[in-house]
Amino acid sequence: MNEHVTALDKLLFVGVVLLSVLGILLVGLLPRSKGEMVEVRVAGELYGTYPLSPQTLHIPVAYGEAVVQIGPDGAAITEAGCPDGQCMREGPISQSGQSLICLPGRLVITVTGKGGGADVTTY
Amino acid sequence: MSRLTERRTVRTLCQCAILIALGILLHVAENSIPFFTSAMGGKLGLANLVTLYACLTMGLPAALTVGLGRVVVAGLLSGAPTAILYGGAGTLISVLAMVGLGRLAGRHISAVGLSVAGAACYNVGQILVARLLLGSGAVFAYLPVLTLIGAFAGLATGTLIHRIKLPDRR
Repeated sequence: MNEHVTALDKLLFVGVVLLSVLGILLVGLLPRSKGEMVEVRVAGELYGTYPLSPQTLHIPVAYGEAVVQIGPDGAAITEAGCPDGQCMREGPISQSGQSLICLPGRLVITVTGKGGGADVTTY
Repeated sequence: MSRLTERRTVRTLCQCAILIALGILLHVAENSIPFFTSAMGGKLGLANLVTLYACLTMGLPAALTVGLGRVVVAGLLSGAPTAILYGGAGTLISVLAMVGLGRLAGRHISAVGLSVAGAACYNVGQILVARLLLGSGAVFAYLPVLTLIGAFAGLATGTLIHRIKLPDRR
């Protein structure tokens, strides 16, 4: 190991940053269309599919109960019960392919188009 | 076992224990500062300082012990057992990558580069576990966000370690 910062160090840092930015741009540029349905997955299992119309869902998760509120602007997780609540700070989502993820509760909410969510898993 | 190897074993054991304890302390300290925990699920990862230190000074078995030991105890303490799976996979991959890269690149790399590479590998491990646990490819959309934050976090922790005079490898 070298005592001083090397060219490879700089290359690694710049490389990771560039690849990350490229990845973020790619995800952002994915074709989106107005979603039709909301797909709810808990712990890897499909829990249910709901139309993207105003309603409130109560979903049992590892930490108790998560509440998903679907309003005119789309779906949002309003109650997660988990310690960090990261997923509650994002959304609402309404475009097909967008998703909200609660890691501790193992909950994934994905907006899908008419033909189901196959376009979500391709990247 | 000869007297000398016995002394070495005891020393390694003590070093591992001290580093794990220090890692838990850093983990708890960082988590109690809201500023550090709120960035899109990414964080500074101060506790990874001890993992990096172990990788640089102690060799693979000890580095794995320190990294995984810290993740398990800190995960149990913070009341989120699934965090052990994410942190465990991330730590496993990043320790293997940092020790491997350190041997391969030799004098062409410093603690800073190893830390940046380790951070990116940590994020890959986390996302792979998330893919398994959540059963949805949607998690991969978060990978570039995490690696971007991770690159700066790795730069920060790597620079900190770089400023420390490391002991000679024993």
